[in-house]
Amino acid sequence: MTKKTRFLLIFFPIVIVILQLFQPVKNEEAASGNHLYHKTNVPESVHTILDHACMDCHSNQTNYQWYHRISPISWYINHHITEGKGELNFSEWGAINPIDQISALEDIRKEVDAGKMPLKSYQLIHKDARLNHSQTDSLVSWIKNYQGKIADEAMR
Amino acid sequence: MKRLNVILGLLVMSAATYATGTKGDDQKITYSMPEQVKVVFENKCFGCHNDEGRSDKAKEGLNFSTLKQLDKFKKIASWNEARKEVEGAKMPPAKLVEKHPEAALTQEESELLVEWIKTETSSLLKQ
Repeated sequence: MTKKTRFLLIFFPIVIVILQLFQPVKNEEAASGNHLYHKTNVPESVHTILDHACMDCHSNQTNYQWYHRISPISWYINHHITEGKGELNFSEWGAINPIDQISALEDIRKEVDAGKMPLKSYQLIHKDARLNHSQTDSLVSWIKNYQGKIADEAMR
Repeated sequence: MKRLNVILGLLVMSAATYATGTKGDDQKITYSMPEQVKVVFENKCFGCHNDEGRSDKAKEGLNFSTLKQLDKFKKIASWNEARKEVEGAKMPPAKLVEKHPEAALTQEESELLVEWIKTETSSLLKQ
């Protein structure tokens, strides 16, 4: 064993241990009345899709796995959550005006249709997030339906 | 000599077309909107945001050639996206403005577009 290998073997675990002392704030708020699920009645099939494929990064309620608590994975995950919530946060859905809601739903349709969402890296780990054709179809038809509902409510 | 005349004529014509920025058709945008709004869209946005535009990304975001045929929710989304881009000064792209400063939107133009889009999306919503 060279001096260098020995140094790395001791040094590396120490770095990992020290890294554990620095953790991002957890994305685990209680769901408020502004959450999408409180604003509209989402059909069971779509509810499942959203839970499995979207809500980890697009809400204030991430469903953490044990390894998400290990730094630097925790920071990597945290970065995705911050970015995802910046684009769209279902926990604050009720605070969005109807025109922006319709646009957001249209964006969701486009992203899912184009295979850009859920992210490939996310699908790799989360098997439930891999959407099949019938799941995509039910998501798209819910989107159309809900957009109509939003417009109807705006007219009242 | 006759041939030279034809070539000269063509040159003058293409120069005139280039100067006015039109290709012979007066109406580039068929979507119904006030003339003053249309002028801004045609001069500052249409170049990239139509079927003939070179960038696919530009067309995907907003396409004046097909906009009229979209359903109302897609119209709302397209216009709303355009509003955000203009409001956030992300469009026209900084790179383009760097090369062609005349492509930039003035403060007044930008406000005009944003205000009109807001009116248009609200009326679409209530249709």
